[in-house]
Amino acid sequence: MAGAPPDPLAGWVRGSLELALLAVLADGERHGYALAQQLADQGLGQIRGGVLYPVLGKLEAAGSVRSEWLPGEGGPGRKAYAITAAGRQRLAAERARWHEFVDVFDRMLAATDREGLR
Amino acid sequence: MTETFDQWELSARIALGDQGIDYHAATPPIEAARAHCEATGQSPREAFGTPEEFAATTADELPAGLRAEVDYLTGQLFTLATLVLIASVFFAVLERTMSFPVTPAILAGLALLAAALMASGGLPGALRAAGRPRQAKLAYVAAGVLGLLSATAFTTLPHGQIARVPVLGLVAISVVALGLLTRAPKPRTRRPRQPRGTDGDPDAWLTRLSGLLVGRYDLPPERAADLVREARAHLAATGAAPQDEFGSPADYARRVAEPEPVRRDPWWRTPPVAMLAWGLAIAAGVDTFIDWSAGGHVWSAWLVAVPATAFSAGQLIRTARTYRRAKRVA
Repeated sequence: MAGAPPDPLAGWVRGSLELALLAVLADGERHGYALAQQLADQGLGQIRGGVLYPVLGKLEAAGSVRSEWLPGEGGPGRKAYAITAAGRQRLAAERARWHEFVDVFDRMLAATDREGLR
Repeated sequence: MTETFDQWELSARIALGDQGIDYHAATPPIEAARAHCEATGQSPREAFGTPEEFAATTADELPAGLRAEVDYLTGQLFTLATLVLIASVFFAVLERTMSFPVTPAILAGLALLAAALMASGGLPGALRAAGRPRQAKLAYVAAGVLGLLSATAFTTLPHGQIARVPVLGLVAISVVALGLLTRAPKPRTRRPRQPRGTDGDPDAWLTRLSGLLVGRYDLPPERAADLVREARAHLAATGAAPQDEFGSPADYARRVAEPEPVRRDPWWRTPPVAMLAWGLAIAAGVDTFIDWSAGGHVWSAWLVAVPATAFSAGQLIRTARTYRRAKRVA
């Protein structure tokens, strides 16, 4: 017997993680763990390192973010990520597209809502 | 010259092997590509890009379970069995004989030569794919030593005949070996074994990650060290176990290496080494042609040595062009 359907949030977040990371980095540079914490604080759930760093690598390869190592106190140090000018342009462009996307989805889901009430 | 699908397929299968996709797992995507090309009339390069690009896309789309540890050694045994089969028939026709003489020099020399070929052909690739790039260098040292021992055996051991081996026996053994090596694998019922020491031990997990990034995905060692250092810092910050935070080293290495723009091939896969190898093959082809012509084996000189030399020359030109183009882009 099938149990309750899994929470779809993790899948949605994975699909839009690049945009979410650019949005968080627009506020200032952060290291990987702080980025994951910030996303969790925003209500997007826990992002594991196995998901986070490959996406940061993709953003860095695309020139949307840059990184540098900062010395740690007795620890291994931390790599801080910062958004680049190209990243800000990408964020602005994707923000506009995201609003269009959400509008389309809202209209589609609102229609199914009305059908359900009929 | 137009590239046929079969020529592209051979390179694609090698590239798929480099991605950890064995012969049987590679067949469905290759057949799908063939059907696409037949239906559309496109060349495989037009439709799917270079064999390496096709392999990378295919590896990305296949479920993780199908990406087995790369079976370079089976591939090398397959090559060896094929060589024995072709060489047995060819030299039997050339010498007009049904059996070959066995001497201590030939027996020891050939056994050592086969071991040297295994050490230089399949072993380095297998060790890199298994995430042990340092040991791959030792395999070349071993191959050099075996090659020297083989040459010593050929030249110094006694040349008196001790027995004769029937050609049909060699053919039968090769055919049976090829049949066994190309059998479809039985479906696996057990989960793949986790490499020893990576379960729960962060240092072993990170060491394995480093080996896989350099060996399997050809990342420059300094970039691999950077990624490993970042994973270590993340684990220190979260206090989590590596397996819980990142998954298995193999899966994480694949995901984190995928967007990396810079890859560094091991020296034996670089174009200058390939050009050197094709140059040596041309020299060997010319030498064989002269040798066979002088020995009265005119048909084999023209039908075997000349086409083999021409093929080597074609490959040398092709590799040089690709290398020049890559340098210009860089």
